[in-house]
Amino acid sequence: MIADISQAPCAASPKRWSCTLPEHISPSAAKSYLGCSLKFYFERVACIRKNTPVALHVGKAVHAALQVFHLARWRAGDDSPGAVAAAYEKSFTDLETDEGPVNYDDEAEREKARVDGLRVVAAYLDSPEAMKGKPRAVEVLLKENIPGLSVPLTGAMDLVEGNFTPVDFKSAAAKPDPGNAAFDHEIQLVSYQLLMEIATGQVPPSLDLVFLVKTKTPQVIRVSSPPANEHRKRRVIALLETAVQGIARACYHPQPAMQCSWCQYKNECMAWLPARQLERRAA
Amino acid sequence: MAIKLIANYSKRLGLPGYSSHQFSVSLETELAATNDIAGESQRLYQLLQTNVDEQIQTVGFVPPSTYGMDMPEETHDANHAPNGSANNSANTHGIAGNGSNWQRGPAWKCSDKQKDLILKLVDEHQLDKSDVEALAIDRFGKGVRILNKIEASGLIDELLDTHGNGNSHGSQGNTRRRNGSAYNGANGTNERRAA
Repeated sequence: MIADISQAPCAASPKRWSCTLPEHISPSAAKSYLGCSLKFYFERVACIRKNTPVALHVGKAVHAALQVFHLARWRAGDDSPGAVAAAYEKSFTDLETDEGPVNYDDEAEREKARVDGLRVVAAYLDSPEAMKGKPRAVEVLLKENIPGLSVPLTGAMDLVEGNFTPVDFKSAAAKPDPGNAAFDHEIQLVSYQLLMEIATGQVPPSLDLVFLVKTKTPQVIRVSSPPANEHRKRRVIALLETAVQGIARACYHPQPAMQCSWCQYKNECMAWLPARQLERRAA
Repeated sequence: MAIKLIANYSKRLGLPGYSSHQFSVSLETELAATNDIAGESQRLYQLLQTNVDEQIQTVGFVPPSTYGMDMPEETHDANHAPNGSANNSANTHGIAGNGSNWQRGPAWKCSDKQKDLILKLVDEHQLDKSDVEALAIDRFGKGVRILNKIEASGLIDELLDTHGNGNSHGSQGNTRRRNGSAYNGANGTNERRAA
């Protein structure tokens, strides 16, 4: 395990927490842990802050704008493009202040990112996918005990449609392949189903992703997948539990892969050694 | 030869005060071959059951214990009656389901924590239960007690938005998710989450 967390802003103590079960597990945490446990450690245990990637920043602002739109639909409030655009602009600026600096190269990149996000929001509002009726819930947080999981499962759904279909919005640079998209987001989608089944007693009719694609002409693409059968559910629960047990055992190590090329924690990763070797070196 | 398959699903559920309600759905379809019967029956059963279950959750009017007796004039919420009021006994005759008295009616469908939080918000801000009931019906088409966890979460957001000093993730002024960590021991619990 990495030893040096002295720069961690939250000053977590790994000894205190790393040998106990986490309080809960979310699909995004599990995916992050399974993708690279050491990156998970830097991000979520040591809380080492890095500049926000531009795409993530734009994605968050777009999410905030869609949330305002869906809440307005739900409350029969102002869901006009002007109101939604204003929410986007506010969120874009607020996030820069609240969540630290964004990785812009220069002001021109910032302006391009801002406009790209705004165009994607406009494309959604103009698309057939834009919510016409009243949603069942917007940005709903759920926490449930799931058989087979040692800790409660949590999840925040962007939107629950009137027929209890959970929808998650994804901003993307390129058009998604529907088959791969559902597979890539399997943990998240099936987790939502598990949460929905306990919360409502019903199986959602489908598990949907809506991709907001930042191409020259923005596209809005819905990828629907059928509700998970028992095998898929058991598989996802096993993946979630694998992450829980790994976190509980403080099992954090590099997982060299393609994504290392753009990882922000390369320097920290280079310093990694198994805990025993670090202790020997310190002695 | 076309084969006719007739499916019927019926459910009767008990309600407080010796009441019950029943709903049934019938469906008639044609099959091309007899080897479809088992699969089609299974599909229809699930379809009808899902639809009946969905509809039967709306309880509608449930008579109070005094239904049919000589009633005093329209009563008010017992919780809002002054303590020691001579009319206290009469004030407990609210009609379940219209929000004037949440002590009666079907069991709460949301989590205990959500129920407690709704009642706490109503109590702390002295909200009229009928108004909260009306809000639930406006937003979800059903009363507070039969909101599921997802719907109750939405109702709580609305109440917090209006009465909770903006302490809501859904308010327009605070639309972003929290970026905390549950894995470094620094997280806080959120009692609005469905337990």
